[in-house]
Amino acid sequence: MSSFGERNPFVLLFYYAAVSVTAMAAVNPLTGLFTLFGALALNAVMSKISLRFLLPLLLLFLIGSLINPLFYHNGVTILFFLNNNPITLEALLYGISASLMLVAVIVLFRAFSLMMTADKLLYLLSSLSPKTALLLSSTLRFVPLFGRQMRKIEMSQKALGLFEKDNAIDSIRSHARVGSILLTWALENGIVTADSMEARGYGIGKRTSFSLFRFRREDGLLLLVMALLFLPVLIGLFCGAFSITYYPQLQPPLRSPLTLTAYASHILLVITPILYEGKEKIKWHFLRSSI
Amino acid sequence: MALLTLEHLSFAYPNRQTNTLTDISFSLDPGDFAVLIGETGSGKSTLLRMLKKQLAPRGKKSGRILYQDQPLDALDEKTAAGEIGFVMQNPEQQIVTDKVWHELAFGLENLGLPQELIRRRVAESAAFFGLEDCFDQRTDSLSGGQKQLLNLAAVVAMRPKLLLLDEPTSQLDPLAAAAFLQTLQRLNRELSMTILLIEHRLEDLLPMSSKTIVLESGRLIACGQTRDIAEKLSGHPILSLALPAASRLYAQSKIGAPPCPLTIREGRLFLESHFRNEIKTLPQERYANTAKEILSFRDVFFRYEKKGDDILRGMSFSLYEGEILCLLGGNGSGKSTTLWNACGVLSPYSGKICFDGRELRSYRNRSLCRGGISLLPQDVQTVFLRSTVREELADVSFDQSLFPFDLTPLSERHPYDLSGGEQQLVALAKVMASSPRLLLLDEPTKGLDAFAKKQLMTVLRALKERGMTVLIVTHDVEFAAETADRCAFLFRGEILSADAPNAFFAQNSFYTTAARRMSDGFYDNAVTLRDLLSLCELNGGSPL
Repeated sequence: MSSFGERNPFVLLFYYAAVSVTAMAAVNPLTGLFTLFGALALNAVMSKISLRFLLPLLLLFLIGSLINPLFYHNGVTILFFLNNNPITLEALLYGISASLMLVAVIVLFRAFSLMMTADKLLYLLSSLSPKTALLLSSTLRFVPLFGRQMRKIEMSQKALGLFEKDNAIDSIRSHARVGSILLTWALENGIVTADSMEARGYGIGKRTSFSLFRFRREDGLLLLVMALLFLPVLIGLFCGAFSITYYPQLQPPLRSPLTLTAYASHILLVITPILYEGKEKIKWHFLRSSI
Repeated sequence: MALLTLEHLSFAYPNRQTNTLTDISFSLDPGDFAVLIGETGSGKSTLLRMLKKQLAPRGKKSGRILYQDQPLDALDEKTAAGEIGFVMQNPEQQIVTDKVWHELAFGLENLGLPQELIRRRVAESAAFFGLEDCFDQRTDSLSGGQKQLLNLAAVVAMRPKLLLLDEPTSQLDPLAAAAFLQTLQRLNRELSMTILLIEHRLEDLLPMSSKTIVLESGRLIACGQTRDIAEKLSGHPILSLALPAASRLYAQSKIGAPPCPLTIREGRLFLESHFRNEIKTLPQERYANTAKEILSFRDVFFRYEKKGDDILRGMSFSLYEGEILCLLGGNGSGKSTTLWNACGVLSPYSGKICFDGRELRSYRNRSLCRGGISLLPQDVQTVFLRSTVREELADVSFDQSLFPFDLTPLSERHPYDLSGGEQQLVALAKVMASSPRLLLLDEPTKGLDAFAKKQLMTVLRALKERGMTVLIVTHDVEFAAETADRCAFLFRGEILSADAPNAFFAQNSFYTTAARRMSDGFYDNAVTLRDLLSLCELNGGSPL
């Protein structure tokens, strides 16, 4: 279990928002690479990274990188000609950067979905609006419930001999019948649920929200650290520290103390969870060895 | 000061001429554990709903309901929601959220209580009901009994003074029902919570209660101490069926020696002190079946998922033509799965199932469904499609002359508006329209009161007379003892023993009928109340 994942959901939200915004705003191979590295490491902490996961991403990266030079022919350095169209180095480099960024963001979002469980999302939503949180909770309950009831109805109808799948028309008719039964069932039993909600005082007045999470000192510190690291990155984004001009000729950003700080803090920001995990593991090791 | 007082309450629904409730007056003191009994349609549910402001039906009302000497209508919303709790029949439908902790906190969130207070109350409720282990779990991963317990815990977290329950155990298996009732008893004993509930299963409940209220056709015919009421009701043709076995024994043995026994133990003492036991065994003819095999399972293995556990492990049994076989077993023993395999909807991965001599697999094109096997599923509402019973039956070309129960009075009603027993019978009619030779019933007595069970029993016996073979899967030991020709015990996916009810239940000490538990050791093979009374008569029937 990830110790970073156990932190308050607001801290997690800040991290993911900051890193993904930076990655998407700057089409930069360095930021892309580090974001990818950080996201992969997060994934590895949550669950094993399988080849099944990596292979499609690799494919996406290759296709993305190669598509750009095929369509955009701007750029000064020509590598070779294809069908009378020049394939340029600049276009290739841009393609590689953009694909890298895309893959990095995909991996990041996957880490997000693994780390942000329904309970955490609910906590975030309920501070916005307790009613929305309840809506999410009810949806998470009723959608699988209806799915299960649908399967029960299908089996019943099969036993009655009324569920035919021989041809398309019968299949549609059978599914429509099942859908109709499900609808009636859902509406009738929905009344019972509504009664149950009203009996417990739903809609009387303003709702509060119960949450499992607390905001601890550690969460505050982590948030502060990340905010301090994000500040130079934000400034750098606005000042063009991350922007690389690709066309017509490759021009990296100017080297200056600001640029260096921006890159450095970006790297640190991205690997903050990993560092945090490492710190926790070392602490645990020390504690255990002293038992 | 009484907690709840009803004064001459009468109520009629808007479109009906007759009153659903007429001149009801009674009161509940704090700490009372009261049971409300009556036939289906006697107005019990309506009465209970009128006591909860948010659920009260609209209609013509006269008389007063006083909660703590204040009119119920004048209560503010928060008190009405928090201090009077209501638990309904269906465990699944009452749950609103997806996680156990959220369900417990739901009512408190509604009341707008501060976070810290909600945290404390939820923790307390979870601890009292033993829900700490499943605190983080999804609500759909709980069993039926746990769900109903969760519903109760969610209501109790709001600290009610009066707890109203509408048939809370009717959808639960006997074990879960007993656990639920015991939790109610704890609430009453340890927290002095006033409880009023409607129930049909009175065997365990009546001895726990302090007060019994009886309704008939919307009128209050009795209200008082449970033991007195049990004695008074003994002569009633319909309501006496619902009483515990001990009370029925007292009534039917016609020995007027109060107090009327309520529990198994009291019944046993009554038996031993009023009858001799020189003749211990009732002469029983051995059940001999010479009919041919209509369904057989040979070493059937089945599992739902490749990586899952086996649900059926080497199940083998034979069903003979024209008999009624009851499969008994606890939760997870594979009862429903057996039926779904028997009708061909699910297929075993190993073993053979034969219907009428041919393997089930060899029946093609749903030929099984016409004149072969029919299944009535546990959730009867999965069968209904139309808006009136007439349309449902017309859908399957139903022939009333072939069905031993008259469904014409129900023709214009919506299937969902029918009572549990009526729904069962309509669904049974629908399922039988294909003229099957083998009928499979999955828990047909779920949610039925004693009278409806008797009706079902009569229908099944009539069907048997016409040559139908019936395979019933049930928890209900009493029903099996009265209806079956043979009973079989299902445990962990295989059949352990199959025998005539008398021999079957006489061998068991725990998993057996109330009559048997009362007479275990005194008489040898009294399995039904009828057997018990016959033995009593054979032994002279006069007090010692």
